[in-house]
Amino acid sequence: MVLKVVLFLLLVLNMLFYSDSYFREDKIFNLTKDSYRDRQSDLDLAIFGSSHAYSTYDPRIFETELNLHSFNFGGSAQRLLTGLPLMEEVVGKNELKIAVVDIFDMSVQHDSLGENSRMLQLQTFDNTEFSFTKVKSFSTIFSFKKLLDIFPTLRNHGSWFELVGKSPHIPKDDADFYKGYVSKFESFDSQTWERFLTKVAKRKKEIPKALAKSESKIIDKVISVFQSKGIPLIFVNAPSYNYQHDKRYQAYQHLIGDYVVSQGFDYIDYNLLTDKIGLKKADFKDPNHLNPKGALKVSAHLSDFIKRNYSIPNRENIEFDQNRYDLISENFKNSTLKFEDLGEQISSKANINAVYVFKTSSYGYELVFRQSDSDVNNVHVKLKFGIDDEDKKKHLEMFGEQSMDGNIVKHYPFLRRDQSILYKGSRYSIYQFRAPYDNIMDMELYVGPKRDLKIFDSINIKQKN
Amino acid sequence: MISLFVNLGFLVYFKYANFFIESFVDSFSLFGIALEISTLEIILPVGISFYTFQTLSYTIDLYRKKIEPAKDVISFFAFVSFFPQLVAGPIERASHLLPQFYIKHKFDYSLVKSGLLLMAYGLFKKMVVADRAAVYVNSVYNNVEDHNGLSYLYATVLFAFQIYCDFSGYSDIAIGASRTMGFDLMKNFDAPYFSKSLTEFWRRWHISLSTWFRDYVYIPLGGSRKGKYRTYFNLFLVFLVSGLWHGAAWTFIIWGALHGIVLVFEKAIYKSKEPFFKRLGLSNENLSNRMFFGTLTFFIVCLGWVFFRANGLDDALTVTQGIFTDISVNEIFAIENYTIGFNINEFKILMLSILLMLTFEAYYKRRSVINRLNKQSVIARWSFYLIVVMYIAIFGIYGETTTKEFIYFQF
Repeated sequence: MVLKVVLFLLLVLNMLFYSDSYFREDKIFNLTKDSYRDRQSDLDLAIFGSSHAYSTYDPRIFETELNLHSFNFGGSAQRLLTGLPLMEEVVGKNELKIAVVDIFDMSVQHDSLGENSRMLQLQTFDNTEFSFTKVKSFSTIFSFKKLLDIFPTLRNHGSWFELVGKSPHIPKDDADFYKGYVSKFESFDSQTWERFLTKVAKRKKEIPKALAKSESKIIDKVISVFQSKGIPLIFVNAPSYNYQHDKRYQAYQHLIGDYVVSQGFDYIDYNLLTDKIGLKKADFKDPNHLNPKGALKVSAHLSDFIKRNYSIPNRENIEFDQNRYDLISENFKNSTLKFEDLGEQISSKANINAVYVFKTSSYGYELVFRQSDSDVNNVHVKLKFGIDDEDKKKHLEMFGEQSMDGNIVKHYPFLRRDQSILYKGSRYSIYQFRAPYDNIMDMELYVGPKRDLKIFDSINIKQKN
Repeated sequence: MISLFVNLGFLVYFKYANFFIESFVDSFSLFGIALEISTLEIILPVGISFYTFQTLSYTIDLYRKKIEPAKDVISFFAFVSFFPQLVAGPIERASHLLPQFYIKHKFDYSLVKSGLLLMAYGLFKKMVVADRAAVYVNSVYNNVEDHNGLSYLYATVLFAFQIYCDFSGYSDIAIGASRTMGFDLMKNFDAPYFSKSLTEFWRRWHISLSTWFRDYVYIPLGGSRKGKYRTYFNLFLVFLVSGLWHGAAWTFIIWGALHGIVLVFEKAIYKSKEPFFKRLGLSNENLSNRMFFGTLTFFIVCLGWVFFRANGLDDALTVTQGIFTDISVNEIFAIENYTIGFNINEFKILMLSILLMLTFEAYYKRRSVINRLNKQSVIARWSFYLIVVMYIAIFGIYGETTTKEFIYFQF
């Protein structure tokens, strides 16, 4: 009888676990976790942290430079306490060779969180497998009496119609997504900076003299997750454009840095290395987050640091065919389309020497424009393609804007020189476009001030989704 | 006598004092005399009408020597304050419940299982049907002037299901919870909306209250033993008192009076109805007859619910008038009438759930669903239990912002 009761309760729990995936709200971390699920159990390098982590450490670089399967588990406003069950889950399912944890004042604080911050923790909790640690972390942040809210099914049941049957989270065309890494090829203007400074001025000012007990305790817990499996751990702090303006932030980072170093771990505060690695304002998407251009610089430094300080056995013969940096290193050997002989006109008027097209892991394709490093300025781009009726019915609302002739047209205003990246001695501008279609027909690409310089037309691509 | 006065005294003070004061002041104002008597600031104890009646039945049964005095004070207070049914019944009789406190109850798996199933059914009725219907009903009845005749009709029919599922859902949870502990509580509802007359309806609706009024008011008044007209009067009076029991408001009194009048009418024509039907070659069990009288009864009950639910007499009259005079066929196809307070998908779930409940109750009348379920394979049974749990978890209305009390907690 007792066995029957326990079995039935387990069945109910299982039903809830099953239905929970349908009741998650549409958040970027769903895509991160879904993307991880396809690859789990062969990770070598894992990165944890908040949005600072997911916009700074690009797994493409670690894959290319270190030849390691890498993944970024950063989640918006993710506290270390929230990430703890996720770390345990990842450590339990993979034989990690090294882990990186991004750490700063907000990530170690989890007491008395505001309503918004608490809600943001849910996207990580909803995408973490059930465990005792998850229950403990959840009840610490939300209180024990709200424990049933740990199940998205019970928490969001009232929105059953909107949530069940919803489409998977799709990154926008301008989002650069790769294995948990998320950012945009954009930078911020002076107005944004002014607004940001006003916001910062309203924050708490008192300079901390020591870490609170709960703060050092959560760091200890994180350490023990990796130490128990003998996984090397590096603590890092992503750069912030306002670091120099925020004394409290600086003081906190010193305390955190001193603490983790005293525990015997490497700690890199990238705010202190901005000159060394050449970080500029144009490398920031906003005052707190890097764009892919800045992420490339920090990730390259970190991968070099790991290479020099840790003896991690390389994997051999891994193919990273969706990784732009690996493709660049391999001279675009595995790209879907390759156009290298573009002629003098395109080269001189649009400063484009070659164009590569390849399929990414996030519902679409990436266009990589190789440019010379001369002073040619912004270039307009027009991409046009057709899809069959079946795909129109299935996906069009989500992915495209239809033109008069029924095709999909995407106009990219500029290939902005200040947002292009410099890698392996060449300059590249990158655009991603979402296209989860089975057949892409009559694809055309034009560039130039009037978008009249043809790169290609009448190209068909068949893909399986 | 002391017990009666104390019990009724508390009930009258807490529940009716302000009503009598207001009515007293209103009566004088009719003659142009403005009395300045302020009403009392009273917090009504939850479920006072239920445990007062339960205690009264103990006192009266003891006086009539129908029961023995409680063997110990703990058993007596446990009988009065038995937590599953304390706040909204069923109103138990001492002869039935009190002896159950004298015996030791052992864990009984089959009782626990059937109790939990009954609780699940009660939760389904309360959380899925009643609280979902309440969204529509409250939107219409709390803003009567903003709606049309068809939405009044829908809101009233939905209120019929809301109040049934709310109240019988509570009873099921109370009976089920008691059963898990080995206690047997009386049946309080028996598929009342399948009744073919109002007389039958009252044999199936809030059975513990109907039988209480029958035993402690109707029969002591003479019942049907003192002639035809006295019987009619007794019947009418019982329902007037029943209306007043539900609340100190004129709408409840009108609700009680309406039921009383229809019951008197049914009683008056009962004897002449049978020969009339026979002459037409109709049988009471004839399907069309059952459907006709079933629908008529449901309609009369719904008419009563208008007064029961309305926020005041004016609203009740507006709704009644709207139902009879302000419905056009075109409105039936207007989606706006189905999306008041929620979206069309919620309405569809509500309809599906009501249909499931009615099917279940129609089936349950003929045979025991639980017995039939027990004969199925473990996979079928467990699948059924899981579906029920998940259906309630997903389609139930619950959570911090939507917590709703049971309607009968206020009585």
